[in-house]
Amino acid sequence: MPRLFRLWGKKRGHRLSGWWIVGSVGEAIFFASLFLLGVMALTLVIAWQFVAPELQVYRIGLGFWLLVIAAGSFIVIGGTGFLLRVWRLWASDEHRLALARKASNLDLAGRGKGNEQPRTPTIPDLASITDSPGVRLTYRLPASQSAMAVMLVGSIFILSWNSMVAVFAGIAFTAHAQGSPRWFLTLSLVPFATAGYFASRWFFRLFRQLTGVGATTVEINELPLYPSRTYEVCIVQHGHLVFKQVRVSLVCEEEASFHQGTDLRLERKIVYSQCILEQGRCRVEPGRPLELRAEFKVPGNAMHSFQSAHNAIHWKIMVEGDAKRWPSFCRNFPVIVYPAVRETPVLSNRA
Amino acid sequence: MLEGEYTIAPSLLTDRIQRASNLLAYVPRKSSSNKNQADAVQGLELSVIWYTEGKGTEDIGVHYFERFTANDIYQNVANRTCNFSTKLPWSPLSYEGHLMKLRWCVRARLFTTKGNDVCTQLPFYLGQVTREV
Repeated sequence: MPRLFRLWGKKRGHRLSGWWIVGSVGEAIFFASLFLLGVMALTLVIAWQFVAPELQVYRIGLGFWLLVIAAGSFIVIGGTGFLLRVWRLWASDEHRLALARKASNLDLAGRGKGNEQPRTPTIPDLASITDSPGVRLTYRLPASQSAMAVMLVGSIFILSWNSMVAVFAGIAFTAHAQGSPRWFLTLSLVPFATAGYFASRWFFRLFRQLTGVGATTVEINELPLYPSRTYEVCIVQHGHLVFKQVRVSLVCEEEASFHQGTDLRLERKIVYSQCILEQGRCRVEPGRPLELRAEFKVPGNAMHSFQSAHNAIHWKIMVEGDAKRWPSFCRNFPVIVYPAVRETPVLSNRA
Repeated sequence: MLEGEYTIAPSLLTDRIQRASNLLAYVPRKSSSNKNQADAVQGLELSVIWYTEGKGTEDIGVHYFERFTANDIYQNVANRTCNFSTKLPWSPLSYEGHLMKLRWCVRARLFTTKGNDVCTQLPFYLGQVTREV
């Protein structure tokens, strides 16, 4: 005998007791109601202007426009929510993804023909690292921009923060000069100014580290990289300093982003590191950069580069330096590793 | 240009897909008396997908997708088996890492007119060299 209609369900592992459809239908009804409410409210507010304008119930003004915006937002939120729920009811996850992929492939239909490069949608685009020719070897690798991005964001923050503190300090000083001191504002300035001081110190240390050591360039003879193959790399370090040690490594790093409460977290872990070369004490002079060459082999069982919405596997050449009278530095140069395959396997079942 | 090769045990895979197609045992014969009409099949979706597991939010990619309606199943699927063939892509390969794992599977999802769906998936390993190095 079939069970009676059950409104509530329990989650048991991956299985849900009761009817999963009830929840989705309930959400769809909620959003449909919201949409209808918005349509009715908007119709009422606008129609009133034509039907009985002499009553001036909703006179055109701030209140009128607020009502229009509120009703409009109900229509947009309700309509979008309703369509998404219906879409979810109508199609499974796989079906939706397949349709999305089909839609995204429409403009690529012509490009695939005659192109021998395999289509590898989960491997990062190679063009971003092969657009710069090298002087000594074929390609010059672009540096990872994460440190520069931090410095840029930091500089905007420092500038804004210190400007705010300066304005408040000016107000407090003027108040004191006019004989009506604002003690609360004055005392509040102490922690604000302290935070500004430490932030500025951090920023200038980072700035010195990034700009003082000198540019590092890395060139490579071939891209993309394939497992079990050997490649040549050339590192050139500019500047005016004495290095205690320089170390170059091939690194594979996993990256995962996830939600923790309302925060978006990013976690990285180095899962492979191979030392390509190590250089002891050496001097770099202006016009006489340090030039290092080495060969390295990508391990045969290496995972290829991978990039999806929330997970990634990055390969990079990491240059670490420990200089005299300068903070130690670490610079990353991303490379892309392709899978080692000879032919496309066929998954088939002919029963 | 590309070297190496994938390792897929065809016999094992065939066997697993065969087991997946056992879902079609749910499909009643058209000529049957349909005593239990509530369990009638509405459709079947067959897909080959990859998905991530681990610390990060799950990502899914669909490589192959085919949907059979009830009529397709009654008319075209002989002996309650489901044949399909697809070329697997170059990437992503299966991977067992620290923060993330990348898995491939054949997923079959059967929809009944009652509004329920029965889903089964049969994992397989694509590639041979993609364990954490």
